[in-house]
Amino acid sequence: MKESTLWIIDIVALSMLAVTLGIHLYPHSSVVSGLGISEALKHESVLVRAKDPLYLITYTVFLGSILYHSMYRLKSMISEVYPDKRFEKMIAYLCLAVGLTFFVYGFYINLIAYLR
Amino acid sequence: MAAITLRIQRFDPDRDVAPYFRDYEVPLTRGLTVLDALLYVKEKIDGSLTLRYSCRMAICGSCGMLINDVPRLACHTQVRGLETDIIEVKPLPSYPIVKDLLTDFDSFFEKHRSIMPYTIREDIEELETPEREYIQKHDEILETYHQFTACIMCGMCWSACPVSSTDDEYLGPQALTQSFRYIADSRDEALAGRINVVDTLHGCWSCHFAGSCSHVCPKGVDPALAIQLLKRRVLSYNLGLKKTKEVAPIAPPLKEEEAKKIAPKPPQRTIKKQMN
Repeated sequence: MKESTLWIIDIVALSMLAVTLGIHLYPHSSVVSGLGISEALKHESVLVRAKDPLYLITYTVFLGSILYHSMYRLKSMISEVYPDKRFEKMIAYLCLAVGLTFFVYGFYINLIAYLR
Repeated sequence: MAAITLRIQRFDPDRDVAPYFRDYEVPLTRGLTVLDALLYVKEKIDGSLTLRYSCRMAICGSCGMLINDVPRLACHTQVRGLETDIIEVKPLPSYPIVKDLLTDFDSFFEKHRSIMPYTIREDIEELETPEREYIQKHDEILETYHQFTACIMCGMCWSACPVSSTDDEYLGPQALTQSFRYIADSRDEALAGRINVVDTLHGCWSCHFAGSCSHVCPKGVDPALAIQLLKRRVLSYNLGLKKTKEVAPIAPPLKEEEAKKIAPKPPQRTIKKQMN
C-alpha cells in the first residue's frame, strides 16, 4: 500500500478518534450528561453503558482508530530512528500483528460486556 | 587592532580518535567574513586546516558550516554581525566528516539525483533536440515554483532537519523541494514517476514540519512550504482529484518576417570609425 494511502487512513482514524473520544468522555461531564465523574465510573453505570449498542459501535470504532493511529505512528518512529531497509517490512508486519491482536482482544471484551 | 577568537573543530580521521577544538586569534578588519577569517588561519597560522569553498559570494554553496551552532555559509556571514568575540566553527551536522570542516556530500547528491532533477517530456526526440521554446505564463512560474529554483544545494537544510539527523534514508528538504519544483513546472510531463519517488516511507510523509530548513536557507527558499505543497499534490493525485497537469505547449514556428522583427538589433558603435 502506498504511504499516502496509509497517511489518509491515519487522518481519518484521527478524526474518528476525536468523535468517539467525545462520546467516551460525555458521561464523565456533569454539566452535559448530569452524571458526574464519580457516578459515571461506578461499576453499575459502566455495565449499563456496555449494554447500549451505540457504545458497542463507538467503542469498537474508538479501539480501531486508536490502534491504527498508534501502530502506524510507532512504525514510522521505528523506521526513522532505525532506518534499515532489511527490517522495514518486518517492522510493518509486526506492528500490524500487534494492532490486530489488541483489536481482536478489545473487541472480544466489548462484545462479552454487551452480551452479558 | 581588535581581534577575535576563532574556535575551530579539528578532526583528522587518520590521526585523531575524536574531534577537538583549537583556538586561533584573527585580527578583526572591516567587512571580515568567517571565510576570510578561516583563510587567514589557513594561510598565516595553520596550513593543515581543511575546508571547502569556491565563489566567496554565496552562489556555489560550498562553504556551509555550523557557525555559533547555526548552519550558515561562511562567505555570507559577517564576523561583526555575529556580535561576539569568540566564534565557534564546526562542520555541518548529519554529514560524515572527511577532515576538519570538510564534510562528505555523496549521500546528499545521491538523494538529489534520485528525484530526477531535470525536465522530462514524453516526446523524447523533441527533448533531445529541442528547436523551439515552451510557452509558460509569467504569473504561473512566479506563483508555483520560482522561489524553489533558487536552491544552490549548499546542504544546510539537510543538516538543520531533525528527521535527517536520525533517518539516513529520508530524502530530505532539498530533494523534496526540487521534486516539487519539477512537479509544478508545466514543462515537465513525468508527474506519475515523480510522485512514485516521493510517496514512500522515507519520502515527503516523514517531514515533521519543524521548519528549520526554511529558517537556515541562505537563499530564502522555503523548503518546508514546498514539502507541504508536495504532500497536497501527492494526495490530490492519489485520490484522483488532480491526475493530470497542464503542460506547457511548444511555441509555433515563426514566420520569416516575424523572426526578423523579434531578432535583436546589433548594438550601436561606441567608437567612431577612423577616417583616413
